[in-house]
Amino acid sequence: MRDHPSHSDSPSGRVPALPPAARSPLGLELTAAAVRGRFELQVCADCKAVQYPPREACHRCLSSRLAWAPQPDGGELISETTLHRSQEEYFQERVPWRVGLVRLDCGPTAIVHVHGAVPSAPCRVRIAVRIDESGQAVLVALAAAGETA
Amino acid sequence: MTVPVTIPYVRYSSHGAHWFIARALRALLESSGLSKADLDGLCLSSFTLAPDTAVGVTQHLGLSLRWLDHIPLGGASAIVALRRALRAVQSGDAAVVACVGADTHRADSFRETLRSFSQFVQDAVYPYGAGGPNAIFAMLTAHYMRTFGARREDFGKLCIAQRENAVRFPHALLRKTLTMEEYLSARVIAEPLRLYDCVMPCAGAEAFLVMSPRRAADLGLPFARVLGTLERHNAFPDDPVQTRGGWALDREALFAQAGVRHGDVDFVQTYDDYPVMSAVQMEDLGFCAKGEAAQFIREHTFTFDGTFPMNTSGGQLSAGQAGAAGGYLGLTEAIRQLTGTALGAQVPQARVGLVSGFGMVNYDRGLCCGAAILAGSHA
Repeated sequence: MRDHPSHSDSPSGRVPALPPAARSPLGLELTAAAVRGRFELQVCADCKAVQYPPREACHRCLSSRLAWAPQPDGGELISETTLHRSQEEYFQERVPWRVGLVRLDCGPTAIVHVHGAVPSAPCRVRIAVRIDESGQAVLVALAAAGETA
Repeated sequence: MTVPVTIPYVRYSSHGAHWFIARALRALLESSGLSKADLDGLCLSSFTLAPDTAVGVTQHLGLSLRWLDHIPLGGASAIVALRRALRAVQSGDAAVVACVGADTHRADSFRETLRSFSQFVQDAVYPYGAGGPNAIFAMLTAHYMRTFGARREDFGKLCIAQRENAVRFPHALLRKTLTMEEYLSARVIAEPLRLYDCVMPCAGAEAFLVMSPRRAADLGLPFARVLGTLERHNAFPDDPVQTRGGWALDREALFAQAGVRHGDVDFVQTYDDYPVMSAVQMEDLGFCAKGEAAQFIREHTFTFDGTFPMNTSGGQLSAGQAGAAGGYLGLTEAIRQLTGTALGAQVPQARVGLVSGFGMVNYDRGLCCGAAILAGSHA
C-alpha cells in the first residue's frame, strides 16, 4: 500500500478515487468565484442577508434578488469531528479526517475541512476557498493569525 | 391506534421496499380481521421506494383507496402520519388508515440515499466526506458535551439500558448485553461517536392502523388513544449549531392538549438516532431543563422497570434503523405497552406514554420534530 493511493499514475491501473464532484447549478457558482481566487457567497439585494449553502431565494425575506459578492474570511470554529469512517472511497483512503462547523462572521454556518494546524474547537479560524481534486470549490478552515495548534 | 405490526428486521435484503410494505399490510389485515376492501386509507413513508411513490404502491399491491398520503419526513414521519391519519378519520375522509414505514437495505442503497439526500447536502456536506448523519451528530455531540458538561458515560448509560430492554425484545437485531467498557472502547466512527452511538441501518417495516375508538371496539381490538400531538419543522433556524429542537417550542401546548402532566407519563420512546438526541428530547419535552439531561441521566434508570422507562424495545440503537420504519418503532412499541401486549418487557401499569420523532438532516441539523402522548383505552 502506498502512502498516497489517490495519485493518478497508479501502477495497478486502478482509477484513483476523487472527492464527490456533484453540485447543483447554484453550487457550481461557488466554484466559479473560487477559480478567480475569490470567496464569494450570495447576498440578498433587499435585506443584505448572506446565504449559505447557495439558495434560489433569501432565507430571511424571500427575495429572489441574490448576488454573489466577496465575503470576509473570518469565522468561529464552533465544533468539529475527526472522521474515522466515510461512505466515500476518497475519504476512506484519508481518514482520520477533520471536519468542522464554522459560524462565518458574515452570518451563516458552514461545514468545512479543518486544516491540521487549527487548534481544537472552539477557536477563531480563517476560511479559505480551495479547488479540490474534483475541480470543485470547498471551504477550508485555516488557523487564524496568532492561533495555531 | 391499534394493531401494531413489526416485520422482523434484517441487516440486508435483496427485496424491494414494496415487499416490506406488502408484508406489513398483510399483517395489519390478518391481525385486525379486516379485509383489503375495508382499508380505505394509506399513509406511507419509505426512503427506498424510488422511482415509485405511494400511488405506485396502490397499483403494485392492488389497493383501491379514497385517501392516500406519502410522508417523506424521515424519523418524524410516523408522528406526522399519525396526525394526518387522525384528521382523516375524524373528518370522515377515511374510516381505516394504515400507517406504514418500510424500507429495504441493499449493499449500496444507504450510500445512494445519502449522496442525493438534499440539495444542501450535495453542495455543502457530501463534498466534505461527511456524507450521512454521523459527522453532523458527532459535531453536535461534541458541542453538547463541551457546553453542558455531559460525559461519554452519560450517553453510555442510555445505550446500555436500551440494550437491556432489547435483550427481551425478540425483533431487536442487537440483543447481547452491552457493558460500559465495551461502549467506551468500541471503535471510533466520528469523534466523539463510537460504534454503539450509531444506529445500524437495516431493512424492515413497522405499521399500525388508525380508526375510531368505536370501530376498534366493534372489532374487539385493543387500542391506544391519542391525547395530544405536536409537529414543528425548522425551529430555531438562527441557532448556529443545534442544541434544541421544535419540541421546546410546542411542548406546553402538547401537554395542555393531552391534559396530562409530566409526572403522569409512564414511559418515553425518544427518537434515538444518537444518544445525544435522547438527551435533547428529555430537555425539550420538559422532563428536565436545558443542559441538565446529563444530571437527569445520572439520577434515573432507563430500563423497562426503571425510574424513567425509555425506548422499551431497545430503541433504534439496539433494534436497528429500518429507514423510515425507525420513526415508527416508538409508536408500535407504545401501542403494545399501553394495551398490555408488549413483545418484550412490559412496563408495569403503563397508562400514559410519550413518543417522539425527529428527522431530516437537510444540512447541518435535524429539521422535523414531532411528539405524541398516548393512553391506554381505559386510562
